[in-house]
Amino acid sequence: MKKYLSRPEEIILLAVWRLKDNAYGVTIKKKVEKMTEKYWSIGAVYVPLERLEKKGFVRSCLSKPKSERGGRRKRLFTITSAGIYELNKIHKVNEVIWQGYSTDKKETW
Amino acid sequence: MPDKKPSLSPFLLKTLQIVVSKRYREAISGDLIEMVRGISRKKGTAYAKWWAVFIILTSFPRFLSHSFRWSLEMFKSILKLTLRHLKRHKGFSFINIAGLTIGITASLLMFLWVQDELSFDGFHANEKNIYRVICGKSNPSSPQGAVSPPVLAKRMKSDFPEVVETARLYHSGGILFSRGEASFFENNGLLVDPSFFRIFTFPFTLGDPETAFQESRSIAVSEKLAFKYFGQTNPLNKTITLDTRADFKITGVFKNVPQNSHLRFDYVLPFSLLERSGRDMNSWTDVSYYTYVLLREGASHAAVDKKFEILGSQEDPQKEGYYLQPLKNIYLRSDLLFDIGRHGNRVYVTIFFAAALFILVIACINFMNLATARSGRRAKEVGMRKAVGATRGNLVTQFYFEAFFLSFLALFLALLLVHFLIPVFYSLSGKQLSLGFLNNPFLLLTLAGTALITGVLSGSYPALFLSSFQPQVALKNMFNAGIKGARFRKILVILQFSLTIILITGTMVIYKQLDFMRNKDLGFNKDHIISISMRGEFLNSFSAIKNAVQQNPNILNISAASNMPLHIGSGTSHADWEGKTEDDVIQMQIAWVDADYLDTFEMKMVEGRFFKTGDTVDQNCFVLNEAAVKAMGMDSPLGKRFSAFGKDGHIIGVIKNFHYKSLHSKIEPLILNTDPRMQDLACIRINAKNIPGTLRFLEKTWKEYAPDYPFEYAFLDDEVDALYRAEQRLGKVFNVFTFLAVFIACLGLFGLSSFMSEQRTKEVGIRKVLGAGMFSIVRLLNSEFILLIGISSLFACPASYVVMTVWLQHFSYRIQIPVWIFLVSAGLALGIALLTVSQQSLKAAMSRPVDSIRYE
Repeated sequence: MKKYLSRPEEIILLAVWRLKDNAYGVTIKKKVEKMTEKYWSIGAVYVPLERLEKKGFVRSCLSKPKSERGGRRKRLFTITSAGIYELNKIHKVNEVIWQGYSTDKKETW
Repeated sequence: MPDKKPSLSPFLLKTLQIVVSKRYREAISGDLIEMVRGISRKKGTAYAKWWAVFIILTSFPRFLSHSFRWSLEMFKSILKLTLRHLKRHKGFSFINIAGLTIGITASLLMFLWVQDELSFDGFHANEKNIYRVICGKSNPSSPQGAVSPPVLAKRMKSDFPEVVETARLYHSGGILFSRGEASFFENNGLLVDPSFFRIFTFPFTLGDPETAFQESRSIAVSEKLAFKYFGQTNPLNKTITLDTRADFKITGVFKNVPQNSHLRFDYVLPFSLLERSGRDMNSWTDVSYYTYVLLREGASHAAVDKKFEILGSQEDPQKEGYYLQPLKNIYLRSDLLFDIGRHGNRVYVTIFFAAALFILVIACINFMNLATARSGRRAKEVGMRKAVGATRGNLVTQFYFEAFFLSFLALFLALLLVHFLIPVFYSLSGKQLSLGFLNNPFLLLTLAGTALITGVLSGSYPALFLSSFQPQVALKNMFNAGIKGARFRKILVILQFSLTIILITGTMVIYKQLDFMRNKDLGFNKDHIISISMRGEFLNSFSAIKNAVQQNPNILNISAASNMPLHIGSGTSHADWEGKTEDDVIQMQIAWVDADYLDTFEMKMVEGRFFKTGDTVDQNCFVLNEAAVKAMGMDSPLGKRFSAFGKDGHIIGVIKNFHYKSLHSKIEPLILNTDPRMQDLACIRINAKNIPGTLRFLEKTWKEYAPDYPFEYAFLDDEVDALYRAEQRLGKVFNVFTFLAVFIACLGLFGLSSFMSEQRTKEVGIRKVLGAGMFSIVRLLNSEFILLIGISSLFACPASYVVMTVWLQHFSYRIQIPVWIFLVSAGLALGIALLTVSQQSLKAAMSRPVDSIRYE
């Protein structure tokens, strides 16, 4: 039985999808911080990324060395078709489990 | 653009790289640099730097937990399996751990002892550049002395650029210290130049060594001595009376001299006292001094030796050769005449080291032996675990972990044991050891290394060999592994018992030699002789004392002499005799004795006569021992001219050789002469009956003549025994360790035999069913071990013969190693082994065949 993605993995995977061909460490970190309005450490970004890559939902390649990065290359992540498929699944599940929920305060208790 | 400036320290990047998996390293440091630059543009460099630190720190937990979590999980399971395994096989676990623990404990104690011996004189800050001047003819066979003339110190300092500092040293002999009621002889004193404390590191707790010896009547004492006479009060500037005559001011208190110093002293007097007493400090012939030298850093002592050669040949009338002896060599590597201080024995250090290594090896072998033997029954486990999905790596980790767990557990227990055994060891060997790990990382590393190697070796067989089994093979054919390891285990048992037999033989030879020394005819009767040293006014009143004492019928004989026949140590190589040629250089020892010496000690003359009572002419006569006559090559020595120590006379008699030193050294040429000034020791032969009464009588008489001096006496046979204390201690220590080695080897054998008889349970059962008797089964099971031990003795006997012959070389008078010793030790080993093994064999032989065949 395949497990679901963890929540951080899900968020990161979405960020990679959103960033299209400019998804690498810094942009992903910024994106998820903006989306979640929380501090993400580098570790918190890369550990789920690594897992996602192992599971085959993203793949990565190295860019050309950039001077503003101290001559270091970027590792650019792109979402794979398996990743898209997984996102679709999660989206469906999410829709189901969130169905009928509104942020109207009266309905919370 | 400030981009060229690296805004992130390489250190921070490195820290990050340790935790990140390799694949992402470059990208992450790139990301970090990019972010830091972005921040520093907005909020300044300083802020950015702190931000970088923060971000790296917060990343740590995530990475760490990711990589550690699963290995921790695995570790937990390995630990659980290991503990389960230990619990399951309690007997084996106990034997394994106990054997290794005892082995490590014993060898650790011995290593500590060796280390202590080797550490002698190592605590001086200038240790490497301190030397002692020794003298002797360049001819290597002629004896060298540890002494040197006083003029050398001055000349070296002024003439030799290599020399930084020199200090002369003179051994004070016993001095009577009195303060108020307290009055004791203090025997450990030195007279030294003030520079002594600049050369050596003997720190002062009170006073200053630079200024302490400005007055001639000043004295520095050890903390021990200060406490003895002054208790808790500050002794500085107080006075103490020496030899009832002179008051000395205490100007310094130094820390007690460490155990591992060859120089032992409790008080220090200024050397200038000797100069004042009129001794010639420019003499080349008065060699009663010791000279220590501090050389410039990096100077070679060979260069100084060369200069000695020139200086000696130009100025020394005696043409002695002088050499420098490194400080480190004094304790263990010198055998010089007239030496002071404590001496160790290199041979013992070697023997102890070897024995410690032996025991450690035996214990480790034992450990490996059991591990490999037991691994046979784990073949099934290997198969099972592989079948349920364990990889080979898992199994390797598991087996190695178990081995390390056991070996380090044993190491830990051993350390605990050593901690508690140090006082016991002290009473056995007379050496206070300490487990100072903090100042000895080498020892700690060695120990950890030992545990590691033992772990690796014992774990390797199951880890590398067993883990390679195909599951179905391992599950079906479980006995294969045990048989395959059998040859290896046999070799181990042979090695182990060889070592044990060597130790047993060693112990027996040591005991034999000790016994030989204790009972050897010394050439005199050492029983019931007491010696009392006479100081101060005593010398003049000896004849009065003698008359008074001889009234008592229990006093058989009394004689005044410079030495008892056990420590005669002063000598000369400048004696002259009729017919002496240029080439005759003979080192002769001398003792001054009176006419009663011969009868008191029950010695025998070979020819001529001994000294006569009351004959002052005899003061210029000499009695020589047989060895002296032989060395001079005289045919008829009686009446020949002979001169030594400034006396010119002739030989009146030849005394039969007697041992006047320990049996380590040969009987050397000896001169006996009469000189009442030198005879400061009263030797008294007393009746064996009523010894306490006689002692009381002597004390009373003594008090009459010298009320200021305490009455102190010593029995000669005690002192003779003391000469061999080192050997006796060695014997005792060796005894204990041999016992331990045998015990450990037996533990190993016990484990092995029980394993082997268990493996043959089925075979034994079938044999019994077919009619085999108990005896034939025991024989079957034992025969293999008998063969192994036979082979071990074949190896061990020649080896121990060689080792013990080397040890015996150390004694001039020694036993021949008798053949029966080898037979006995081999027999002993065999007996012990059979006893151990038979227990298991008998159990197997007596078991009911029904049970054994049903086994499985």
